[in-house]
Amino acid sequence: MAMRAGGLVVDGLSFRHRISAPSLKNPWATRQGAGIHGVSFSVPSGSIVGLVGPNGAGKTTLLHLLSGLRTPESGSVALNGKEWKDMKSSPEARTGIGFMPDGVRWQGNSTPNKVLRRMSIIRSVDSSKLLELVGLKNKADETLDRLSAGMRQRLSLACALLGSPTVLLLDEPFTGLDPVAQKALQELLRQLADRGTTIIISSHLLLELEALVERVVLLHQGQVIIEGKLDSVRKRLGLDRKLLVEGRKGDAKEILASHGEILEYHEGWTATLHREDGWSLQSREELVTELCNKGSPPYRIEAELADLAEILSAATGSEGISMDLADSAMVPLARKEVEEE
Amino acid sequence: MNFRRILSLAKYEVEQRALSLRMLIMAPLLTLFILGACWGISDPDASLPSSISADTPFEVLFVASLFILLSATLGVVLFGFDGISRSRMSGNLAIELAQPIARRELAWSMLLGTWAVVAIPTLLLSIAGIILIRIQMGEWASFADISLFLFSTAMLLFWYAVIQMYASSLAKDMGSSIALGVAAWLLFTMVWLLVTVMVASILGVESSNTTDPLYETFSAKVDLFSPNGVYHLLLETRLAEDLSRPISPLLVVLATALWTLIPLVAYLKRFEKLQP
Repeated sequence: MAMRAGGLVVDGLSFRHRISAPSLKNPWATRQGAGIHGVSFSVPSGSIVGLVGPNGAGKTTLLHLLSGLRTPESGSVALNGKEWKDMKSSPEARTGIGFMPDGVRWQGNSTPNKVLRRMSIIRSVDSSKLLELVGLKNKADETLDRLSAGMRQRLSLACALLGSPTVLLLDEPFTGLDPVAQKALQELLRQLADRGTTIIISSHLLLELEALVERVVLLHQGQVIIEGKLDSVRKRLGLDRKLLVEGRKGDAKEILASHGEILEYHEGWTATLHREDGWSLQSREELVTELCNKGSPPYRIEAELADLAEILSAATGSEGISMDLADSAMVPLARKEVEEE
Repeated sequence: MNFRRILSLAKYEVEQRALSLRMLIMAPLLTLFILGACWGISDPDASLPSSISADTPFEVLFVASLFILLSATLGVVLFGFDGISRSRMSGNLAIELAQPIARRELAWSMLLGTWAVVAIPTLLLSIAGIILIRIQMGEWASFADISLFLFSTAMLLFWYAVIQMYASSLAKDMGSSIALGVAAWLLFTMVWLLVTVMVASILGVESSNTTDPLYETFSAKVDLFSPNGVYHLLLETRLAEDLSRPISPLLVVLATALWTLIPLVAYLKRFEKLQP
């Protein structure tokens, strides 16, 4: 894989978890479990990338490998042009990385101030402005036990931001944050990206993620299924083929049907069209011209973009995940007694 | 290794724990056990069992070391049993391990912090105890005696700290963390005599009379395999011949070195492989 001057390049990263499998012969025996296989992608400097995938896809494992918590079996990571085989045994490489794990339960009689003091000793950097940056200044001397879930999340973020890392790895950063804090976090991350920080966010909150990321890496069963800019991913998955057209006058159904397959049509009129070869500028112009000429001018025409949830679903499917209440024998349904009249 | 950073982190650990609830529990216990033992045993009017000799300041310190074994080592268990497991379970160990610091440095800082938080008050109280003995008996223990006593006590606490941190790194929940910590303490502090007698019976050594020279030699050898035993054997090297057990001082020095190195290397290796 070609090296880039900045950003992050992940090349063929593989790792399998060891699962305990004790037997009478060997009580400490382990066997290979799930993991990630040959994961490769690149993230240009200053980009925000969404790491998405279903549960157990390997997102957290990948972040652990990138942050040096685990040693990969093969592959390498290039940070700002310098290649590293094992981030775990290279503290120097981790200088440029800030990691925010998922769901850290800060607890005890310590305070955010003291936590950051310890982290600043470890990193040998100053941490004086960080609590203000993440909105914890007023809680700086509150004991950790008294912090809310969102505040603990902010403290984890402050730890990740310590030392101004060039690559920020965030695992479920929006969990527990109120809407205002989520927005503030999004704004902060945009600002950091503008300054050249490369940000990788793993999240199941796809709406929040979609508002932030330019690129996505889609993981499924430990492998990268698709990666790139959102538009190009939609295109490759065939999710850019829908067009929303709205007008008031006339009946446009026949004209619309001659340009593409009508997926939905409501009198009045509103239609969703599908075209196998996508909606180029020319094809859209031809449609508008014909609609205008035949007395049904549209007042709105736009490509209907698939959101991250649709992208995820299109790429991975949902086989094996039954969430249908009616099918489940495990969920007792409450019966409403109806009195006979 | 950045020794300055290791010491700064260890100092931070000590500051954090110095005013904790655990210290509030431990401090009176340590004070009562160490100062009480030094004061009481050195009292000329105190009537001790005939088997216990406390005629010189060092003999008083030797007897007082039993109280250190009970209290200070328990202190290390209290401070060390969740030294790693707690931050591992809460998730903040992942944050620390992802920082640009060698794992070995982090491991050393945690170990030294756990050791120092108990060793500092224990050694200070031991020095105060030595002063109390001087007041009671009118004479000082020799400089060599005092140095050996303080060194041995510091080493004992270090061995316990390593064992506790290793056990804590194995534990994946608070229950097993406590169980491992307390089990290690119970084994060496309470059950070791039973272990010695059992091994003696298996090997055919007469164990019904514990003052039998053959049994004394045997128990001294078995004690080489226990940190408490090595602690006492170290102190016995300064006792009169009739009060100490017959064992080569070289073996005691070797056991001291091995008890320092083997658990330490095991702990550092374990920390290198630690998964959050």
